[in-house]
Formats: sequence, structure tokens, C-alpha cells
Amino acid sequence: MNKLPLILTILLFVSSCAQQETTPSTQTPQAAPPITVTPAEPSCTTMDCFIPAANNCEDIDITLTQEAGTFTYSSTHCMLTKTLTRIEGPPELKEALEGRSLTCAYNKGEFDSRWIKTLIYGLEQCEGELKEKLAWMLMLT
Amino acid sequence: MDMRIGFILLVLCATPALASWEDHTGTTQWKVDITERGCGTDETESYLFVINHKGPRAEIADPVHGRTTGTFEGDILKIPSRILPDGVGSSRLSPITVPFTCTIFTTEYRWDYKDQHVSCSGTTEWRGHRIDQGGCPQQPTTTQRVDIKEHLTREDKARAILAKNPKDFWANWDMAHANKQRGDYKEYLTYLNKATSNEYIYPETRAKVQQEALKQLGLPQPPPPGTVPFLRVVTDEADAGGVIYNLNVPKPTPQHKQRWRTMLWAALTPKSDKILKDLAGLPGDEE
Repeated sequence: MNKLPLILTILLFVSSCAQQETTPSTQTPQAAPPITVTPAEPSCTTMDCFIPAANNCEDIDITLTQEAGTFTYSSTHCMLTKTLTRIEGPPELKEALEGRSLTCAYNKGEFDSRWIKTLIYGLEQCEGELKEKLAWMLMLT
Repeated sequence: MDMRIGFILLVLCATPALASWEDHTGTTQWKVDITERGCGTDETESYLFVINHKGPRAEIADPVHGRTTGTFEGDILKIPSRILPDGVGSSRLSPITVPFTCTIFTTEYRWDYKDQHVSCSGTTEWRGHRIDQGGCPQQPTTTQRVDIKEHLTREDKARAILAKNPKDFWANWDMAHANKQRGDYKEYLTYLNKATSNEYIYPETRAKVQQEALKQLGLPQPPPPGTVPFLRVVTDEADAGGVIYNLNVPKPTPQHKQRWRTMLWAALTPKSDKILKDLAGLPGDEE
């Protein structure tokens, strides 16, 4: 009997199986598209940019390390919240002051820069624990 | 029947008058959600409203439309119609009627916008929630009318005392706080300055406030001078003088530094009148 057809069939079978085995199960990943890095817009980190933005009643937050300590200032809808986050001093004073806030409401165009630049001035229309603690501090000076 | 009518009238007459914003004096703050619909707009944003109450008259600092005044009739605020510049055109606002509770107000009003090219109309809705810590408006009851009369009498007494002894600490202190309640901050600071010029009561009173300051700040004793940057800044700012209640207070002389600090403390501390009198063991008014 002529075994050639059988042999050819076997060879064909083996050949196709081998191709399947050698063919990767997954496609070669394409190179990732290049990532375009867009430089981030510079964020506001100083009082010089915070004050005009707050004056315009824009929503803006900033943390400033100032002579008296570190404060966060948050302005939203014409309301400033000033929070003392860190001071140097005895533990009792840190306990009494750190985390305390005051809030000051204002109209657009009437932001009082003293709220940022000073500790004790401009607070007549503000309220909050930080204001009260500042008032008590005055009696220790 | 006559007896019943008489009884009802008696009850009505004896019942204290209900509280009303019409009688309120002071400042209130409100978070207001403003929804504007019309002229292609339908949006809601939140704003802070500050209302300065002077009895029936109310001055509203509306961050959207600017300052305006209205009149309280009972608990209903009425703001007359007005025309405002609005971008390149102008808007006519309808009269606004705003019913208030102690903590909420809501209203809706119409507006008509017009410029060179466009005219359209819409509505604005205000929903306000109180955010300051003040209480409900209080119309003086019969008892409170007596208290107010006593307060006026106390001020009259203070004036009589000062006519004989201009340096009397407590008389000047009472006059200071009477003026503060009236919003006359120039006189407030003037009388505070006079009170702190008293050579006998003031030093003793100041010492009591200093002790209370240590207690309020949780300190066993004042930190040594210059050791705490925060305290150093407070000191430097106080020593420089400044503007308070729109009044310029010049740099205090060395002899006046402590007096200025006491004045600042009084100005910045809620209920400073009551606190000082409690420390001295005297009856005081609620601020």
C-alpha cells in the first residue's frame, strides 16, 4: 500500500500543530503610545496670589508658614477660614491653639489682607475659637 | 359670653409679644443657595449673605447684586424693586418678599434683562440657612423691658458717676459697652481708654483677666518673653498699634501698652463685659 498519502497527512498535521504551538497565544503587545506630560499649571503658594483670588471670591486654599506658625487659609464663596495648624511652643500652648480656626465673611472686593498678614488686626467681624484664643494671648504679652 | 371674651382678651394682653426680626439689632450670616432660571441659564450656586439688622431696617450684603436695604414687617423682609447693571445690559428685579424663620428664609423673584441685542426674563430663588451662632430675634418681653429700663438706668447711673469721677473704672466700662451695643465704636474705644486709665481698679482687674487667660490657654504660667514665636508676633503687632473698627489707634507709649492690650482683648472677646464682671464678682449684661 502506498503510505505516502498517510505520511504526507501526518506531516501536514504535525506541521499545523507546530505552527499553533509556536504561534504566541497573545499578540505581541504594541508599543504603548507616547505619554504626553502636560506641565501642571503653577498652583498658588504665596499670599500674593491668594489675596487677589480670595478678594474675587474664588475658591482657593493655601498653606503658609509664617513667623507665628503655619496656617491654612481657605476662601470659598467670600468666606475666609484661617486655621492654625502648627506653632512652636510648650505642649500646653500647642494643645490650646493648634487646629483652631476663625472665619471672616466679606463681600467681593472687600477682602481684608490683614487677615493674612497679621494675627490680631481685622478680626472685629470674624468669629471662631482662634480669634478668642488670640484675644486671651494678648493678656499674656 | 362676655366673661369668655374678657378672658380671651386678658390672655392676649398678658401673653408676651412674639419674637420678630422687625425688632432685631445685630448682624446675621446666611448660606444662601441661589437658583437662577431664564435667559438660557439654569444653575444653582451658594453664597454668603450678611444682613445688618437695625430694627425694621435691614442692610443686606448680597454678593451677587451688591448691597441693598429692605424693611422687616414682622418676620417678612420686603426689598423694593430695583434696576441693576448686569454685564453689558441691565436687569430689573421685581419687589422681593422674604419670609424668615429663626434659621431659614426662602423666596423667589422675577427679573427682566435687557441689552442692545437681547431681552429676556427669568426667576431667581433664594434658599437661605443661618450659619452664625446668634439666637432667634427677641422682642423685649415685659420682663426684658424692665431689664432694658434697668440697663438704661445703669447707663444713666454711669453718666452720673462719671460727672463726679471721670476715672471711675466700672462707670467707664459700662459706658464703653453701651456704646458698643449701639455700634458707636469710637465712643466704645474712648470709654475703654478711660476705664483703663483708672489707677486702682484697672490693675487689679487686669491681673484677674491675665489669670483667666492662663486658664483659657491651659498654661501654668506665661511663657518666658521671646521664647514662643507666636506670642512674639502678637506682642509686636500690639506694640505697633493699628486700626480697629476702622479707627486708627497709634502706636502706644510704653506706659499705655498694657492698656491697649486690654482694650484689644475687650474688643475681640465675645461677652468681654460679662467675663470681666464675673471675674470681679459683679452683675453684668449679656452682650
